[in-house]
Amino acid sequence: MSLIDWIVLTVTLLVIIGYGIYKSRGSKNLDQYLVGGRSLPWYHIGLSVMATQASAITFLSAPGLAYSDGMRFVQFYFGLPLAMIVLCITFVPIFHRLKVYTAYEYLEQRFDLKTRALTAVLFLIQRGLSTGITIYAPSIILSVILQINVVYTTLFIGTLVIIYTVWGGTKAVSYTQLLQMSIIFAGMFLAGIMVVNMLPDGVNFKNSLQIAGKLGRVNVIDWKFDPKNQYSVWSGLIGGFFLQLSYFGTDQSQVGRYLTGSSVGQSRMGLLMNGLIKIPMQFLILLIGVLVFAFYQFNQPPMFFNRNEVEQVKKSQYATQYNQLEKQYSAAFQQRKTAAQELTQALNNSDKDAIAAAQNQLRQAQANTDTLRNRGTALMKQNNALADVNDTNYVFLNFVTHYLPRGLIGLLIAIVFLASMGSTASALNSLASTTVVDIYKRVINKNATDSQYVMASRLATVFWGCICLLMALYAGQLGNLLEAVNKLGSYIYGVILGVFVVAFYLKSIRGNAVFIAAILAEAVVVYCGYTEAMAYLWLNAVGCLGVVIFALLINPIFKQKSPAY
Amino acid sequence: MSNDKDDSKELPSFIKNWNQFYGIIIVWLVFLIFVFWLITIFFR
Repeated sequence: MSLIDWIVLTVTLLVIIGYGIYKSRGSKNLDQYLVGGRSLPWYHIGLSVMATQASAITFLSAPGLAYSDGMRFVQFYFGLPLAMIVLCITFVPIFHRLKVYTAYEYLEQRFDLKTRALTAVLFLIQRGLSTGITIYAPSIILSVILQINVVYTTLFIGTLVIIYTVWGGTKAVSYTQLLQMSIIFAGMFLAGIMVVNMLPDGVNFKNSLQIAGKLGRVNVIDWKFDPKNQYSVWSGLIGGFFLQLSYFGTDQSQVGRYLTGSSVGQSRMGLLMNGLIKIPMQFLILLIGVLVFAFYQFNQPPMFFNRNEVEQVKKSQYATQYNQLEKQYSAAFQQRKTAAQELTQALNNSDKDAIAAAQNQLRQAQANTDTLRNRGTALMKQNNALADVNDTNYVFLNFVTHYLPRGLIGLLIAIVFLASMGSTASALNSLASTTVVDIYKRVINKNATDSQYVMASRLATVFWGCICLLMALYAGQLGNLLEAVNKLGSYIYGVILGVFVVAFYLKSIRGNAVFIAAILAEAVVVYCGYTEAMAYLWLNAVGCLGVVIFALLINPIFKQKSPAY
Repeated sequence: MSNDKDDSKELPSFIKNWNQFYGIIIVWLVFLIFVFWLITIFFR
């Protein structure tokens, strides 16, 4: 990166953090520290909710995913607007009326302490483990792109987030997210315009989509119903609905965002804004990936985007073979480029026969480059069985650093830092809220003063920040455990949602029944996940429905045994 | 669906009540799926 990029990056980060700290001054009581004094307007909530969900990986993976697999990932979000409506009708009014700090507080009022504790602890485990990955994943990518040791990028992101989250609590998190999202929108928009501008002469926006479409990258909608297909309209609408409902309704990192609303109406508006914007936003991010794919039909991409893995294999005994493959890849790319140019010409002339012939030629050329690439990754695996042969996360930043103008590179790198910091800050804030409100204040020290609880919240934020930082620093050595942590959310969310659904809609069911139902449903979810009986999105639906069904079946037994109910 | 009259005054003036807003969200979702489907077919 050039000096101007470093200046843009540093100034952007400092201004945003400074603004967050400045706006959150005076957060001295627990209400202000944990829920921002319940004073924020709807657009604040909407952007904060979006910034919490959109981690750095969203902006790195999504374009890379579109590059390698097409745009079908957008279907993952189809259940989100429906989930927002259910939240607005049920969850938001109840949480506001009871003036809770955490979602789990409500469960004690409705059921009992053990159900509240179970859900709070499940949340702490899941969020505590996954936040380390939220820091680690972009840190490793930035370290490769910027050629800085991963320890420094991890410490940089982690320390900055801990400082402003501890200092200003929820308000600092929310105010920084407001600016973060504005800059992220602007940066991604500029990146999209730049890709289109950099297409070769004679290739316009429509051509680029046509070329990408002929190679299967504009596959936005898939109507086929298949429980093992992760991204279809049905898995998005049904599985995605349960996932988004559980995430936004029961994960404190999101509940904490809309509890900051000055009224039920403001919280609702914020969530509905998310429901309106999220899918188009995700579509546009994927579209950037497709445009980058079209761009690389005319400009040679590296055979593999993760430079670290390439360097490893080039230092090994397989170096000669890999170099040979790279030469063949260059030749195959030239053939692909010619085929892409011929297809563009045929499309512009609307010549159907020529289009069909050029399309076949391009598909064959694409298959040739894919084969060579696969042979390259096979060599990486032979050299090191633990080599990361998925370079999806590196595609977009590689394009940014090699082709975008100075200044914009710094801004887009800043976006990755900001996105990582936004979601990490919400997570730390929610971990501290749950630790203090559901455990410390409820079980350990019931009679402390407000300022003591604020101090406890600050200490809890530091504690969880250090745990997540340690987790991030050692994540590279976790191997398969890392994958397990990534899947943990789908194993837990559905069950927690089931407990809330029973709480809201099945008034006759009591604490013991729902507690046992949650444990049984969790066992079913783990079994389904372990045996890979279905795509992970469906596990959320299984967990939720499992709790409801088991609770209905078990409740009569407790009613007979315990007439007091 | 809930029709919370207390906070419906916070809605933009062109939306009468929350139920109408929820309806707009559903119509928006259907519209997006339809547009994406057209894009999928057109660029296949």
